[in-house]
Amino acid sequence: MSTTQPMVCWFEECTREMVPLVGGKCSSLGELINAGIRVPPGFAITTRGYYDFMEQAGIMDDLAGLVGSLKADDLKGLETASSEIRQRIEAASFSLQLEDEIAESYRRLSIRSFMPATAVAVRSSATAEDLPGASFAGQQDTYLWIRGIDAVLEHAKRCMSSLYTARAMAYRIRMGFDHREVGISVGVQKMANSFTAGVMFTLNPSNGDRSSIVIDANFGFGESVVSGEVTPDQFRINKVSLEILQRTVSEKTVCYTVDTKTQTSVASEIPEERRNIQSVTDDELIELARMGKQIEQHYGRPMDIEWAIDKDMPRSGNIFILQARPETVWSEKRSEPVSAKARGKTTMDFILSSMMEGKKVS
Amino acid sequence: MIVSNWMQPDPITIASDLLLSEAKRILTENNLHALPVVDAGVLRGLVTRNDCLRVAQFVAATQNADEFSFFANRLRVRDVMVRRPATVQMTDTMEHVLEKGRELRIGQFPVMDGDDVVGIISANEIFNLAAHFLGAWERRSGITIGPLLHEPGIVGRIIDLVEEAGADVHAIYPIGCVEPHPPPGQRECKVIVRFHAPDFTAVSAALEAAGFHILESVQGQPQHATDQAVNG
Repeated sequence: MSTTQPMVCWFEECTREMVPLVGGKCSSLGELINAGIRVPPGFAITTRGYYDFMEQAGIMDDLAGLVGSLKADDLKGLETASSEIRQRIEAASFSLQLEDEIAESYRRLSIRSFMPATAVAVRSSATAEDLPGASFAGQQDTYLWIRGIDAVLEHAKRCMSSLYTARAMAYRIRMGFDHREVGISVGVQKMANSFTAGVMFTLNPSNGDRSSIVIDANFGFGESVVSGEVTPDQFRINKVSLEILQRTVSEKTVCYTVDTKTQTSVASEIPEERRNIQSVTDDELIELARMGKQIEQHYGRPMDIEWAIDKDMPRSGNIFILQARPETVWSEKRSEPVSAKARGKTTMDFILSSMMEGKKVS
Repeated sequence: MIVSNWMQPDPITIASDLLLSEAKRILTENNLHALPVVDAGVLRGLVTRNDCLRVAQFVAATQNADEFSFFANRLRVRDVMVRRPATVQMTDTMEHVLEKGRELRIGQFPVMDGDDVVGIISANEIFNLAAHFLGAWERRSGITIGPLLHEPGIVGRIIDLVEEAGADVHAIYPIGCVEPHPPPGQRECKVIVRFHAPDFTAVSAALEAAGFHILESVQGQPQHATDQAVNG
């Protein structure tokens, strides 16, 4: 690793080319910010920071001994190695230099956020080599409403140790990656104190229709929607006219919010009278759809977007994009031409194809 | 002028896990500008009064009782302190301190002896330095002349003129007209003269008669010898 690369860098300094340094999540947040999208500020602890930590703590040198010659299908052995490595990572300390750099960025973030020891979300940001592994294992660690530098450092280490779950290790062994070559980055982002949050697809995820935008929403932090824990409100919006075409208001029983006494994120029951109320206003939906279009335009492909509406911010400046990634299910499907290949399909396909192709008059 | 002669020695230091509200109390009660944060003998940061005020302002703006309680009971010095603060060595010159402070736009430096904190330079010490320079408590008469070319012999000529007019010269400093770095070859300066004289107007008349342009003149009222401590 070149020593000129930073151990900590702001999201706005992250670009598309920096995935190996700051991971996919942070680099996409940087790209969004630079495209003029409203994203809560934050910084990334880079993979160089991760390597520095692992080397200083002496874990890097011991990896070979800990992992040994384990096979990908030796689940028991992997579990033992995993828990040992993860314990060592979480018990080790950052070097003073790295700790100071993280803490200094956190201090500046707090000043930017007008909140001493500001609340942040700490998330792992996987690098390219590990992307498939991370996504299949569902081990994209996210810790919400973290306050105070000690807690930030502790959860950053937890995110780093998520690189050594048994499943991620098995995946790397199967793919023939060297454990020491794969790094991880951690994003520390100002926490939006969301009243409502959720996800948005810039196509209809149930049929791939690109003319509509679909928004799922629930009260509180977006995690209840992302995890599928509640049935969220769902809205379908016309991408061109920005009309709300369909609204499904569900009974929402649980949401995640901050307990201001303990300063932690907690699941709380939604009171009876709010359960069946639309969790986001029509104006906000239209503003969201507009932002969704802008993001789709920037990336040139359908996107899967996480958003939040902050309750501490003034209206008109309170809708934030927390993450955006390319939609993968529909946009990678090749659309087959209806005609010509209709042979062997249904009767309707045959009739349609002959109508579209026309008949040759000899 | 060496830092160790001007700094406040043995400053109050605090540990990084101290509550910020406690640090704020120490700053206020001792009328200090900054507290070096030292853990196990190692300088880890600096908490300034400004930082504390800013935090208090953020907290007050929320008008939220839980945020107040977080501030009072959970927010620690290490959450707020500046990491790797700029420092100076006790063997540095005061000129170096002034230059560094100007450049970084900061007003306080922990003073180090190697890796140990042995003192602090803050606005209090800088005031003290300036006061000594100008003999602030002596109420000297002062005249500033210029702009003029800083040539060899000019300072001596001015002293001669002032003394011939019956004054007792206490200090004379040429200062640059252009700050902080004059263009090469630029030697234009102002000269500040501090003196006690029975007849103030005779001094300024003598200077003007010799062709010097007077920019400022202030007549002092000498007091009897004061018991001010004299430093470095």
